[in-house]
Amino acid sequence: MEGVVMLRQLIGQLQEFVQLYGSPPPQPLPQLPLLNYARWCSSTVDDSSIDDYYSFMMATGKSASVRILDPSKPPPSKRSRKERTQGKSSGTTEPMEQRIWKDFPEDLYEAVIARLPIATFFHFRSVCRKWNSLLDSESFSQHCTEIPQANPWFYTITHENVNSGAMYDPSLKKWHHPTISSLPTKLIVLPVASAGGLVCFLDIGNRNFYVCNPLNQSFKELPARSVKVWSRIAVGMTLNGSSTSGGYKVMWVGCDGEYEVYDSLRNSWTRPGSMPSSVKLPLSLNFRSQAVTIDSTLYFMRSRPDGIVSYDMVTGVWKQFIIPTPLHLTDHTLAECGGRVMLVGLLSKNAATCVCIWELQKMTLLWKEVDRMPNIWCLEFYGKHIRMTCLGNKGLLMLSLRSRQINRLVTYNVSSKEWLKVPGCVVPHGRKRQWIACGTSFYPCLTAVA
Amino acid sequence: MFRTMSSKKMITLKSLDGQTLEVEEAVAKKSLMIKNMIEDDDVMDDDVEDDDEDHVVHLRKVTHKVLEKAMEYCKRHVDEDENKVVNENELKAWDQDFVVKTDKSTLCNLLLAAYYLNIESLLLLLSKNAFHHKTSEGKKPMEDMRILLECQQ
Repeated sequence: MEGVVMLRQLIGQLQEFVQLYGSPPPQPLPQLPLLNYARWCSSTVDDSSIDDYYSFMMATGKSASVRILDPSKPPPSKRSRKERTQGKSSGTTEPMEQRIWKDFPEDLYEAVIARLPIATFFHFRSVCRKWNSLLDSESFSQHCTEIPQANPWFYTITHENVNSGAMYDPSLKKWHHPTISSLPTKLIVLPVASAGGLVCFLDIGNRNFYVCNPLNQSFKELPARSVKVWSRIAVGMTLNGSSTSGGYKVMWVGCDGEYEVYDSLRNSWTRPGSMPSSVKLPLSLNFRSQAVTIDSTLYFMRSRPDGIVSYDMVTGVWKQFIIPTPLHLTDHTLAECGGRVMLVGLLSKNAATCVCIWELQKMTLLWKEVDRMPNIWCLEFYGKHIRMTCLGNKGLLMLSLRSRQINRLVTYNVSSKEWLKVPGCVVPHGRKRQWIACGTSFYPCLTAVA
Repeated sequence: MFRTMSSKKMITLKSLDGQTLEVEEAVAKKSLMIKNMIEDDDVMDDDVEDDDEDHVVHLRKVTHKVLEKAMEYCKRHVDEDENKVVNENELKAWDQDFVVKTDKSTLCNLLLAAYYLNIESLLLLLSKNAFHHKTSEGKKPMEDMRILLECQQ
C-alpha cells in the first residue's frame, strides 16, 4: 500500500516537474537528474524529521549520505543504448582524469569547488571529509569571496507558513525550502535586509534582530537595542570590507529620527548621533520599500516631502534628496543595479495597470522611466485591483503581483532588461502554489559567517 | 617593418615548448597575469629590444595547444570588456559548444591554465562544467566522485 502511495507521489512530482520546466534545458547543467534524485530521496526518508533535501543534508552532514544511498534505490530505468555506450566511454577516460586531478594544486581544487553551482556543492558535500570541511576552511572562504557576484538569490516567507522560508535560485529556477533551526518558532520573523551572504531578520514586534546565512546555518541573535522603539523601523545592512570576516553593520531608523548602528566586530549597538536638521521630521519612511546599499551608503525612501534619505555607514553622515514621485504611482520601492538607484512601481491610469522601472538621474534628481513590463503581461491586470510587493531589489528584482484571483511572480533583470516568470513556489509534498508575503535578496555565499 | 596605421597592438606569447602565438593586446590582457606582466614591462621600458616595442611574454607553464585554446576563448570574449553590446544567449551557446568540443584531458589542462593565467570567466566556465559528466550519470555519483578525487570517505 505504502509503495503505491509513494509511486503516486513520485508521479505527481514528475508531472509538476515537467509542467514547470517543460522540455529539458539546452545547457547540460546537472539540474535534471539532481532534481529527480532529490525528490525520490525525500519521499522515501522519514517525513517527520525532514522538510527538505537541503535541511537534511546540512543538519545531519556525513551520515546523510548513508541514509540517502542505502535504503532508497534509484527508480529502475531502462538505459538506452546511447546512455550505456556513453557510460562505457567515460570509463576509459577516467584513469587519465584521475591522474590530472591528483596533480592539481590544492589551491585550484578549492578554486574549482568554490565556483560550482551551489546545489552541486551541497549534493557532493558528503563525498569525503575533505570536501565537507571546506566550509570551515579559511582558504576556501577566501576563494568564495574572490568570485565575481552572480545573480542574487531570494529568501522569502510564504503567507501560509511564516516560520519557514522559501529560497529561490534564479540561475536554476528552483525553489528550496531550508529550515533555519535556530530561528525562534514562536515569533513571526521577517527578512528585512542582507549583506555579504547574510540575511537580517526582524521579529514582527520590532524588538529582536537575527542574522543568518541560509546556506550554512551560521546564526546569531543580535543583542538587545539600547533604545526601545515600538513603532515601525526601516533597516539597512552593510559589510565593513569585502567579506563577513571583516565584520558587518546593521542599522535601524525610525520615523522620529531615532537611529542606531550595530557593529558585529564589537557585538554592540551604538548611537552615532542625531538626525541633522536638513532631514525633515517626522521622517515618513516608505516601509514597503527596502533599503538600498551602494558601497557603504544606505538609501531609504521617504515621503512628505517625497524623496530619499541616505546614511553613510562609514562617515555617519545623513543626507536628504527631494525627488518628486512619478504620478499615478502605487506600491513603489527602491532598487539598485550597478551603483544606479532605481524605482519600481505600479502605474495605474484609468483601468490599465503596468509595472514600470525608473532610474534616478543624479544631476537633476528626477526619476526617468527606463522600462515597462511587456504589454501582453499587463493585459491580465486590466480592471483589477493589483498589489505589488518587491521581494528583492539588488540588480535582479523579484516582484509579486496579487489580486483576488491573480498570484504572479516575476523577476526583472535591470541590466539585461529581461522579464521572466518565476515558477510557483510549492512546498515538498504540496501541490498548492504558495503566496509569497515578503522577502529579501541576498548574494549566496557558502562561507559567510554571522 | 612597415605597419599600417590602424593595426592593433600585438603581443607575442611564448609557451612551454618554445612555440610562439601572436594575439591582440586586448585579447591577451583578459589574462590578468599577462596583463600585469605587460604593464610591469611598460613601466620599466628602458631596455626594449625591438624598435617596434613588441612584447614577448614567456609562459613557462602552458603548452602551445592549451594556450591556443585559451586565447580562442579570450578572443570570443574580448568584447565584454570593451562595450556592453553582447548577445548573452549566443555567447552562452558558444561557451557550451567550446566545452563540449574540447577533449577531457585538454579541458583539465585548460582549467590549470585558466587558473595560472588568471582568466576568471574561463575558470568559472570550466569549474561549473568540471563535474558535470559525473552528476549526469546518476547511478552512483558519490562513489564516482570519490574515485575521481581519490579521497576516502
